[in-house]
Amino acid sequence: MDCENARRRISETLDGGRPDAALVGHLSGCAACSRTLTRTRSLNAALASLPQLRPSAAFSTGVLASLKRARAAESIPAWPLAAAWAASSLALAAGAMRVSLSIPRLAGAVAEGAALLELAGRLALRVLPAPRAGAELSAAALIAVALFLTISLPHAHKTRLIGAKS
Amino acid sequence: MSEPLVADADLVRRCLSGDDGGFAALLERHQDRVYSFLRRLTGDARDAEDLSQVVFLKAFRSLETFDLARPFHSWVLAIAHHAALDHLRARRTDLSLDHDEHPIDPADGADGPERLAEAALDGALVERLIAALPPLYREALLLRHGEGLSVEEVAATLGIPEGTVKIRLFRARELMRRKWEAFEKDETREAPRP
Ligand SMILES: [Zn+2]
Repeated sequence: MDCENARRRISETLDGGRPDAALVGHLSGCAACSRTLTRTRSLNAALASLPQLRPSAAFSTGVLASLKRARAAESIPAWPLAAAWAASSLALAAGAMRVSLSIPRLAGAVAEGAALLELAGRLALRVLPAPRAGAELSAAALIAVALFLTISLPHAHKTRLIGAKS
Repeated sequence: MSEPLVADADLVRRCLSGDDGGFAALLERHQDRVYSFLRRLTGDARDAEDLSQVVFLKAFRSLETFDLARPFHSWVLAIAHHAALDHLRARRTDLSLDHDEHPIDPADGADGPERLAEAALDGALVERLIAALPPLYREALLLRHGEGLSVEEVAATLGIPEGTVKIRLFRARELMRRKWEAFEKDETREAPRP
């Protein structure tokens, strides 16, 4: 066994391998490898007795607060999103009634409902803790659709809608 | 390492059942070892603290994927390993092991044992020696001896074969011992003993 191999085997014995006869024989005749064994043992022991380091005192409270925030954002209630959905559906219905069914009065009432729902959903999203980006985006997209359809209604309805909002 | 395994698993169950006290207890129990590992691996206290926060948030939020039969500390250290590697890569730290691939010259160690006075292995010197190792070697030694994991556990934590862990440990030990000897030579040169 040469010294390079002996050192490899030394490392293995320090991880639980059993020293074989060849290694024992080499160590008894090689001062350098015996010394390697002793010194590597010392290094391992020194590593094992390194003190544990501590993060700053604010660390754990910071982690727990972040965790709380993240979980609060995840448990955002479903209703603002549902409101946005309903608003866009109503606005769509209002648009359809006006264009194809020519019943502007009913269309106006439905559009008012849509605008109110849309407003409620938007306010809720602003007040709630930062929701997950996906939910926020889809709600925002739906609100945009609702707004577009509401605005594209006849002028008379628009003025009524603005009156209802303020 | 005789970790209170059952207790850790119980704490995880508490977290999963919605009891927030479980998170605080797990954090209290494991934060120092995760921080120490990351502190010595990155070499920077602030980075280590930021990374530790990332690690625990990730662990706590993916707790349902934790295998209750596994030791919690090796699971959280595996997350720390990935976070540290991402961090070191982002800092463009050289993570290759190539520069240590060439075989170690056997004549190197045959310096005559009595000629060198052994520098005391105090904590500060060990910290310097470990900091001077390439990160992946440092990591293997920290997990094996600093955290007291077995070769099998180190392999599971790093996601590499046991044989690779053994090779890294061998090279890490050789490098560290050589650095220690080089340090002693410097010491002897600078402050010759009577
Ligand atoms: Zn030898």
